[in-house]
Amino acid sequence: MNMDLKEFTEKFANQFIDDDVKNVKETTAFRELGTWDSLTGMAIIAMIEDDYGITIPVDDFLQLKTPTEVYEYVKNKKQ
Amino acid sequence: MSALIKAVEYYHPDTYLENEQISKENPEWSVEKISAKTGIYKRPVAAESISSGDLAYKAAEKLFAENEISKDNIDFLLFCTQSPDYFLPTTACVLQDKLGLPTKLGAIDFNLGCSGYIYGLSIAQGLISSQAAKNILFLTGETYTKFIHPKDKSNKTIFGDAASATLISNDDGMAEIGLFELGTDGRGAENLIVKNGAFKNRKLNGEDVSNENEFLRNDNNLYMNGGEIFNFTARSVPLLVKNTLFKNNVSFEEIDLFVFHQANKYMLNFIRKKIGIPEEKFYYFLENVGNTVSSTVPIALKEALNEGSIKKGYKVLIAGFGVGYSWGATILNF
Repeated sequence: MNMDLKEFTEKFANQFIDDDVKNVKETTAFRELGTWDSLTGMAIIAMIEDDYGITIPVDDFLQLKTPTEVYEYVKNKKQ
Repeated sequence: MSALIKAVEYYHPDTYLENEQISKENPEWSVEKISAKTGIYKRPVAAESISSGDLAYKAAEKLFAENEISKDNIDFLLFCTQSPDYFLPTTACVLQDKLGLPTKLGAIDFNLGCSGYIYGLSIAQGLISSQAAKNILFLTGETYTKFIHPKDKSNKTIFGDAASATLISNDDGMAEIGLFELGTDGRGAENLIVKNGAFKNRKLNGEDVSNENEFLRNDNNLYMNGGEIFNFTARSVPLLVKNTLFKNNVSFEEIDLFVFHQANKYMLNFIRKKIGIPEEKFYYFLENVGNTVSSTVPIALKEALNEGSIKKGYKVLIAGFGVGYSWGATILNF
């Protein structure tokens, strides 16, 4: 499957609620957004598992700061 | 022999913990953030002197008062709770007397949480099949707020106290109970637990564990690892729904309404999207009650009936999942 950063970021942003769905951009430090919490994190991990077939260990996920960093991680794992 | 739900009622205290109060104590959480994330505005909280048995008593009396059901016909009493009135006797025995039910009935408590309503219906169906009983009063009641540490803002936003009463009968009723899909995985026990106070760890010697002033846990109180519970739910519920449909020989499209355990809105919405259930077929009811553990499904059913979201001829898939881990689902044919 070809990966696309724009589409990935959109799916990533859809795990947020309210205005933060729009606030998540490719380089947003997403943990600093108001509606961020651990459930959002689990939803992102679950989305990546479902849609990209990659399981990110929580410890690895905690090191990733922006959607682009998560995207690169997933892309590397897929190769 | 079929088992049918004849009537459902519920009761909760009319004192609430509102988002304003939580936000006042934890300024980093705005009222809007709490409601957006959980879908909850206020949760009923039982007074110190009010027990799960007391709440269940009120729910049962409401059932008798509003449905012209004779107490004399009840031949089994089931009570689902994780906060019983006493270590012994069984709260169901106490309730038999308090409710003025016949002494010829069988009465048991069983200890389950979020999956409890589903399990209770399956036990009731079994009692009817084995001809042990014809009219079963099934009560759920929980006062989880009493387990919660005063500084535990996460759990405070989620849980509310309530009870429900359902009559299951072998002759007639509004919904026939279908076949059950049940599951258990005790590996998750540690992720939703009250560790101290029972017989494994009798002493209430827990200490507050915090991380930079942020309260994390105390073993005397309710501990929930929200992330792990989310993980479990996201993995198990889609399969649970699929297997329940298969067992009942019903297609996904034939289900008119999905009524799930009302854990919190964010998680429900995630599972709904994951399974691909359209929003109009998915029932939410937690704004003013919160997560009432084993009572969320009957409360949602009652509200859906009241507002006409469930009509005659509808197939309603109900599912419960959580503490244990324990899960279960069935289909109700209205």
